[in-house]
Amino acid sequence: MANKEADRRTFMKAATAGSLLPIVSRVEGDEASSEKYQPEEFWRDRMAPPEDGKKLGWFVDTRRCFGCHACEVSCKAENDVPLGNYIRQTFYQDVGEYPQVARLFMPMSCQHCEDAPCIKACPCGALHKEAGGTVAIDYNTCCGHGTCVEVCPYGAIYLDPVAKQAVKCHNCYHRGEAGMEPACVPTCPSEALYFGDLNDPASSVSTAIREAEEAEGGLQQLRPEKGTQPRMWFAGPAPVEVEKVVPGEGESYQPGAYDIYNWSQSSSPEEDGSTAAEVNDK
Amino acid sequence: MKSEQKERRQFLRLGLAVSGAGFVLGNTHGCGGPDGEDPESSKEPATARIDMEKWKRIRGRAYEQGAFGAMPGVCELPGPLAKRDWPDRTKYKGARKVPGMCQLCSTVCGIVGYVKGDRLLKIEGNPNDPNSRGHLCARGQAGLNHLYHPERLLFPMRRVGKRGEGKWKRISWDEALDEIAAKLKAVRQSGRPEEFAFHQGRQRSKDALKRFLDAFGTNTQLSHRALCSGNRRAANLTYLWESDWDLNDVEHSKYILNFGSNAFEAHQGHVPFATRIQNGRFKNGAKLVTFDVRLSNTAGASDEWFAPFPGTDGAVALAMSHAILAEGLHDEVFLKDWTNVTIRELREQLEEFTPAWAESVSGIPAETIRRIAIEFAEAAPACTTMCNRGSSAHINGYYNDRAIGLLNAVVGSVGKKGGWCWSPWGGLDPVVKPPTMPPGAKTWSVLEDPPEYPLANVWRRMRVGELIYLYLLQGRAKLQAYMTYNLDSPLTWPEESLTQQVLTDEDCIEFHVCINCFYNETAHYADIVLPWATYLERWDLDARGSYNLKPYVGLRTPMVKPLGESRDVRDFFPELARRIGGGMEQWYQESVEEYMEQWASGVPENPRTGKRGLERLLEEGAWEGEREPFYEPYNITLDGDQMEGAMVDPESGVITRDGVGIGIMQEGGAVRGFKTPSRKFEIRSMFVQKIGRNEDCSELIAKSGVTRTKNRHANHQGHDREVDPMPSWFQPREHENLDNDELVMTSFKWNVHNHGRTMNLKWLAEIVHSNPAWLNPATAAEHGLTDGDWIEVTSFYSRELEERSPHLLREDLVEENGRRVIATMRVPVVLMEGIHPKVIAMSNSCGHWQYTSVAQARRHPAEKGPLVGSDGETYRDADWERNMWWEDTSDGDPDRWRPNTGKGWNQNRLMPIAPDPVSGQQAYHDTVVRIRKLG
Repeated sequence: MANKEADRRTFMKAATAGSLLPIVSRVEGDEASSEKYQPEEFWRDRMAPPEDGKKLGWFVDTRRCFGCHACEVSCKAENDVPLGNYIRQTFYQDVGEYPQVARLFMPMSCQHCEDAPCIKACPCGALHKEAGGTVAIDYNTCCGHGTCVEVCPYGAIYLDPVAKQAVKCHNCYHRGEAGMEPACVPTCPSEALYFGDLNDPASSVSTAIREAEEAEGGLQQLRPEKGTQPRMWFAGPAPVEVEKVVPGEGESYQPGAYDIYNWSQSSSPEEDGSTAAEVNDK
Repeated sequence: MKSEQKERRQFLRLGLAVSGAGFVLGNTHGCGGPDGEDPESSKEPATARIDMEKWKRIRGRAYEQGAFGAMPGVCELPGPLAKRDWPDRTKYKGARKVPGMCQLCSTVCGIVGYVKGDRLLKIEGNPNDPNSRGHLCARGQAGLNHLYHPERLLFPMRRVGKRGEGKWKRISWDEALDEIAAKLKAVRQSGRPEEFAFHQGRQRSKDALKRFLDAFGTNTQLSHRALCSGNRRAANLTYLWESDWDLNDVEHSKYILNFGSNAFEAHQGHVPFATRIQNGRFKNGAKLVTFDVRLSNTAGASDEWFAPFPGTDGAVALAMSHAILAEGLHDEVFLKDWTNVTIRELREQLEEFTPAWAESVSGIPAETIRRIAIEFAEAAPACTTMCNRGSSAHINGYYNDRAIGLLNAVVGSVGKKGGWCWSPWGGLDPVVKPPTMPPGAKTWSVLEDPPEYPLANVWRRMRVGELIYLYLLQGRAKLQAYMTYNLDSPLTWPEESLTQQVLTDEDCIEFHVCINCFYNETAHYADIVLPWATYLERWDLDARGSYNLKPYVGLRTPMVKPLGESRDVRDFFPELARRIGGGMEQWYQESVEEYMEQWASGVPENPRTGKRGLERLLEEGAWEGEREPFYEPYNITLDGDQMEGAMVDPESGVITRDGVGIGIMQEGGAVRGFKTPSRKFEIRSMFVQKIGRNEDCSELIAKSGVTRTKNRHANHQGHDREVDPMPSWFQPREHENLDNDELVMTSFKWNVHNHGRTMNLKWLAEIVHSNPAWLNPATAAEHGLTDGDWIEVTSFYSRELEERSPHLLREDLVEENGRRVIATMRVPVVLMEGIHPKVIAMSNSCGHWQYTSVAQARRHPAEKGPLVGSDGETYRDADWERNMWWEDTSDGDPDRWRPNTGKGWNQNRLMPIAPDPVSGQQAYHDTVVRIRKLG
């Protein structure tokens, strides 16, 4: 009985303990992916952002997120994302068995990796970094090979159904240049999304990271074993569990992610724990 | 580094300019695909890698567009030949920021529109809004779909076929207004002005509607309040009188005890409330505990979730009060000074409501009830309950909500920082006053004030909306003219088929004018349809009870000119009034802008900008005055001026002036107290008992100081009801001894939809468009069901109401094994761990059969009839025509249907008309159903 009445925190730890694997040793990217990489000389320049002293990054507080999809729809509205395609998506995962059940939420998008596989693999040279480290696509160059989709460990890129060009989160740099935050950030009713300059200790993202680290004793990153050095950190119980339903290499976000007909499948215990998020100091 | 990068960009452009000149680079190896192994190739200019041949080969067919150009969501990536960037770095260059207020639900969050030329580019939250603080939910973000929709109504239409046949002719506004005016004039001249009913769904132009109806002389203004919040309001009013709305100060709480509210997905205070709950938890260390029969997102994100048997929230709450008193953790001072019962009386009242008893009805272990109660009390006074439809939309909902409210009095968190608070301001700061209104109409109609519901219309109007079609069918009233406004009653009212029947019947409703932005299920039964301007194209001053516990003023203003011939009521009611004449026109002297200027004139100057009134609001969108949050108003000292000529009742200490209550004597002297007859938080309400018995309450009303409270109308005589003066609880008798195959059906809202007005928005419909029935896996196993199986659901009328509300009884309902059948429906099931085993849950919002092709999950319209009122040529949405992936072409055949496609099912088809006998609140969560596996 006492166990049944444990609070969410304890319960979450218990529920997810089984899927926590020992820390995976760092590898320099996935082997299957690295086969698709272009020679370093081809992408080296594009991997380095124009230097402006900024280091843009994300913090996602999954303790606060309640899965409202506002970020996702704001992104659709900002970027005219066609139906069936997503630059950003909200993932759900139920854990536990009646009457001990909880629901985890995690908004996902491009992680803006420091060592971005999509840049390495792009055969056209369209993927590059904008100021601050934003991984973006040059549409004068992209011709839709989709190699970036094949190597992205987070399923964060899709091919536009009409233009057949790759589309991904670009940190709304067009808004940033107009003094605005990315479309998903200010709208978030749970105040779970933080974006900004990690080099500025007073920025909202740095402050939120500091506070969460203090409260949680560390932050997590998604699939760190891929070695891509993502620029997105997470706090809270969601990443370990939700990671299982986040797409990976060769996939893009799918309408099925929020398919009520799949909730029970995704909440049933997985056979293997797959990879686990780990505590990772940035 | 920077210059290098720049050079690369310029180089690329240059290179492309060349390639764009129309010759083939001929790089047959091209970018080489993934195995571009030739190390030499990397030294080539990047452009040389573009495989133009390949690109041309795979290039998709471009979107076809209407005259308006690209619609929201139609992404026109440039392709390699174009010379522009995506995202467009100039998108916001030269864009104007226009403030407004969302109206896709009742939370009315402040918004900002970015407008370029005549086009709204993007909607964002307005950080100046003190309540929503710049946040906006998914619904608000989908506002562009609402404004720019190919099937939006843009022209007036007149019915040409039979009513409900769907045949329409486009007419001019002049024709429409002439015809409506002639009809309304006739109603007025008939001497029965109450036979003109105005029926609103979500409305935020209260002044404009009331002006028109008062000027006309009808009081038959119908609403959806009883389908929404009647019980919660009645329970709060019983305790407070001055407010019907508890504003839980969750941001400053340490413990938030939630009974069935889904504030993270819906709720009237949705975004402002949800943000503050999370702040309370993650900045103030509060714990959130939720009781709900279904794992809503709120329950799922809570620190603890418990699933009680439906409708037993009040039993759990009373047992918690019992436990707190038993442990001696109650606030003795508050109970003694500020409630009108003694602790001994309270103990006696709660004696039988033990945790063990509550376990027997709710299934929640007594130990859990005790533990949560103790945790709650230990956090006092920074602790609060919260509740909403989950506890109140029951036949016993009034008692559920009184029981929940009581907990706050027992621990003394009433009115405290971090506690259970309220605000005497409905929303708008009283510094703004609309221009002189006509005197109120004095007519009476059974539709507006049904005599069977004692608490429906006493403190304020809480009309029992779910009854009106039944009363019309019973012949208890008739309507010569019926004007609907932003209403989708066939979808959102219980008993869809009865609603349809009455709306079709020209004897019940002689003439029906529908005002709406879209052709919905209500418009389908209209005689004339008027295209309404959207909330992004019209004026209002608006605000709602703010969680800052202060009033404010927000502005809704046209961000763009109304599309087509759509118009707001502020714009065409004056014209209609002039055509009706007979004095109505005198209430429409000003233009809309002049009216707004006058209304907003009380907003003070911003010392920084020098702007005030409407001018200030046009710049800032919202204004909140310098006031203290409304904490502990009962302790406010009455000053000498207030006490002049005042009388003190020696026994009760109640202070009156000219016979009207103004305060109460406490140890410290004269204070304001609560605005109730006892000037205390009324745990015992003699008023509700006397009102129920149709006894004169004028003395109680006077003492409260809330003198607008209605002593019951003479029409109520002969409709006595016993209303318990003390917090209590009973179980609806249909829930006693449920058979194995009987379940209780509950309904819920999704975080991307409101009840009946968002399924037409593609970005929201994409996320949720289907609503299978949720079943606990254990329940499913008992019925031999697995995920995706189809069931037939049969719903039944309430046994409690058969007994207590004989005026609702219909002999035409067929009896089946001791219960009267309402309807049957076939739906698929999903197995979910997060639901009580005796509950079946289906969401509302789904199952439209009108309301645009999007809401019906079609890429092309099923019927062309209503489209004469739209302009699909100009506003063509190629994205939806092409990319809507959830279209269902199975024609209702379960074998051909694919999960997560289609439009879902209207759950309200199964819901009986079931008003709580006390307030009239529709009991949405009590319906007993039987299920049977299909196939």
